[in-house]
Amino acid sequence: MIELEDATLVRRSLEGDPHAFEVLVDRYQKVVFNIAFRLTRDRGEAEDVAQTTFLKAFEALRSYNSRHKFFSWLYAIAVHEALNASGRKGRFARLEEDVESAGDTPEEVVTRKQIEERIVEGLAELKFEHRVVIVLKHLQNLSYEEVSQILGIPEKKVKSRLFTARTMLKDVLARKGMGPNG
Amino acid sequence: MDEKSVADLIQRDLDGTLSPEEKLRLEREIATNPQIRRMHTELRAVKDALSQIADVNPPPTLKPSILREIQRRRAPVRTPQSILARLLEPFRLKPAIRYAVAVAGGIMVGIIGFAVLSTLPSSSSLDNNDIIGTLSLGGSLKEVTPGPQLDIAGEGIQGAVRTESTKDFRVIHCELTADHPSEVTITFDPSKSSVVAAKNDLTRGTSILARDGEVRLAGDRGIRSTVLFSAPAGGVVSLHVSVTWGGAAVVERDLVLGTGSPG
Repeated sequence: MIELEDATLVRRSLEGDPHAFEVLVDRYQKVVFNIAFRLTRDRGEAEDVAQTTFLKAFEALRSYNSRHKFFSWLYAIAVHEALNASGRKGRFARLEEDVESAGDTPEEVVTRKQIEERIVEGLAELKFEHRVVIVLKHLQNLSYEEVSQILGIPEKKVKSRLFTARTMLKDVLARKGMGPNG
Repeated sequence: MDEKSVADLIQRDLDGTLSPEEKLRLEREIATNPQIRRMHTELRAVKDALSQIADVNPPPTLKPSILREIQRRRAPVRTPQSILARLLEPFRLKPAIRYAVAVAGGIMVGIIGFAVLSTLPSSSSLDNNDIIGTLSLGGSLKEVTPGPQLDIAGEGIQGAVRTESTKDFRVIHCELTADHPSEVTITFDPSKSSVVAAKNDLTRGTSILARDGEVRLAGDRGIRSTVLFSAPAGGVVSLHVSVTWGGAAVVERDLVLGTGSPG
């Protein structure tokens, strides 16, 4: 089956095709939910953020400029919503993850989950502006250009902010006894 | 090398975008500067740790809840129905049936329209030189004087051609009932009179044809028509009336109107 481009799906959705936007939801719900979850650290809050993100995107579909990538536009909405949710919440909820663990032994899963838990806790101690660049660049593997578009800041600033974020996270993890040697 | 340049090299090394020359330069710095070596090691450890974080699965309720809400927002807002709309609600039809009903309705309107229009006199059967304007029934029409009458009685045809005179007009009433097509031809001297108006009963298949000095009334199943001639200066109008039925002349007669007494 031919996979339609995002811009085509957007156009069809604007023309009233009810299934076009459903394909976009299928395509991006996981990433949007993960961005929201990594930024809010609460599954319920992340679900709300993801739902609001798609609904706001649907409502504002006419304002989407097809010269830009659809997912950049969508993730920007998600980041904004997550920022609002973080502001409402104040502190992060307890970590509860349903991590994909394909092929790992039980011991490896436990070890990896412990590492992840510490990293995510460390991330939670960063300011939102630092946390978001790490989530987009490292966890979603987006390019500097894409992160720049999503956050609406120059690439150069993304790079310097990412360096600061990494350094701060390194310090946080060191305090938690999770240095390069252990 | 300043701190900013070193930080940039480490960052790009972690991103895997260093050129071979830059990579060599960073390796030299790492080898000779313990502080840079420590920073590089720690940042790489952070990157490696971050790469171990796996995606989480969204709850299965997410997509349905999004689509449900979109569906709700897409649904048109229903305004309160008028009384008429509520009365017609039980008669609402599926689009295909509505289309068929519309087509059938259009055909019916076409048939009825054709039936009505076909009873009207054809514009080509009236000559504007002879038929002038629309008759206005003024007071003079009320002061009618009966004129000569031509009775017609034959096989399959019955009726009369009656005449009347008023101050301004000479009038012919033709009332025939026939089993087959019939025709009444009225000839007159156009230099002395002219057809002012003509009227038939709009029965299907009837017509009035006016030419120079001649008016022809025709009907498939009889004729009910009235023709008004202008009253000439002398007041007398001589007409020749010929009634045909089934292709042959039934009756022919000269009628003189405006003499003040039935001919």
